[in-house]
Amino acid sequence: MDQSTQTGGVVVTHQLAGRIDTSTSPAVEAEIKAKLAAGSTRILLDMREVTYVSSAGLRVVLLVAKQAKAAGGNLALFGLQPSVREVFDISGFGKIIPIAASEAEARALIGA
Amino acid sequence: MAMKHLTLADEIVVLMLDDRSGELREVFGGVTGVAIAGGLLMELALLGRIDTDLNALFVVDTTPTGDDLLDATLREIAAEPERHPSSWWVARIGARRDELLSAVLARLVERGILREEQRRFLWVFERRAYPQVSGREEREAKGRLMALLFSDAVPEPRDTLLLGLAEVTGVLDGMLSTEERRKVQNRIEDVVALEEIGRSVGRVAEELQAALAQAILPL
Repeated sequence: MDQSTQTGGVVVTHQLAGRIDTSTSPAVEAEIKAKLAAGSTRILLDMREVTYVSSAGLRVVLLVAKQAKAAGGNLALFGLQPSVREVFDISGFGKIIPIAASEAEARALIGA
Repeated sequence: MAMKHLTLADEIVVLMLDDRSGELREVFGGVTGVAIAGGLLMELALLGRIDTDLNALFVVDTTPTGDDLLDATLREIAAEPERHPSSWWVARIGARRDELLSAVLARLVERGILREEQRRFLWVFERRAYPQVSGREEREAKGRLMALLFSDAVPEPRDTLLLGLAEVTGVLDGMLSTEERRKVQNRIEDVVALEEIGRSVGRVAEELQAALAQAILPL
């Protein structure tokens, strides 16, 4: 799993790639926690290069969304591949966390 | 040995005990087994020992947790040569309801959370009851569940999982009035769906109840 970030003040786009599972989710949590601590409270997770998300991966998305809200911000996901989208849809994540097709749509969802 | 905090399996058993009598309130035995099994699997997932996806439950770390019940479950999963979905494991482990329930009750007594009492029933039969010593653990768990239900906050994974177990065992029915249940029904469904093991617990419990209903229906 790879990750990189583009920061623009309180809004940050965080690119994830590969698998988000038990072994990689701690790094995702640490990266996003660091962004929140640095004052970037509106987080866009770019999921276009993510190929697999396990339950531990879903859990970390939930955790960082909670942390973003606690910091007065928000978190949205965009660009999910169909197999990853299926995992999020079955879990009903879209009812709890904004999920968008494109970055522009995700930005609109969190008012960024 | 057990974890310092109560595991999800411990918590759901505490929640299932009647406050006054200390007796277990069960939908039926099969569901209790499934709920405890779900609690053990969920705890292993939260401790990073197992993970799941839509197809399978798998071990990612065999390091013992230090909790006898969890470690026995982890060893059992690690020893299975084939991968199976989480619902398979929920059903398999949950089938040992009596053994699991006795083990959880014994450790809750050992930790001073419950006390064991022998009671006479119809002057002849004896049955055991497990009144809570302080009731603090139950109040704390119920408080977390109510806070989760009556807010739109993003849920904590542990509370999400506990809510699924409370729903399947009927514990929520004892906590909510009909009016409250109506208000939060959508929230319950949305939160319970978030966790794959939680969904499996619900599915296996439904299958067991359907099989039971089939068995007792007049031909």
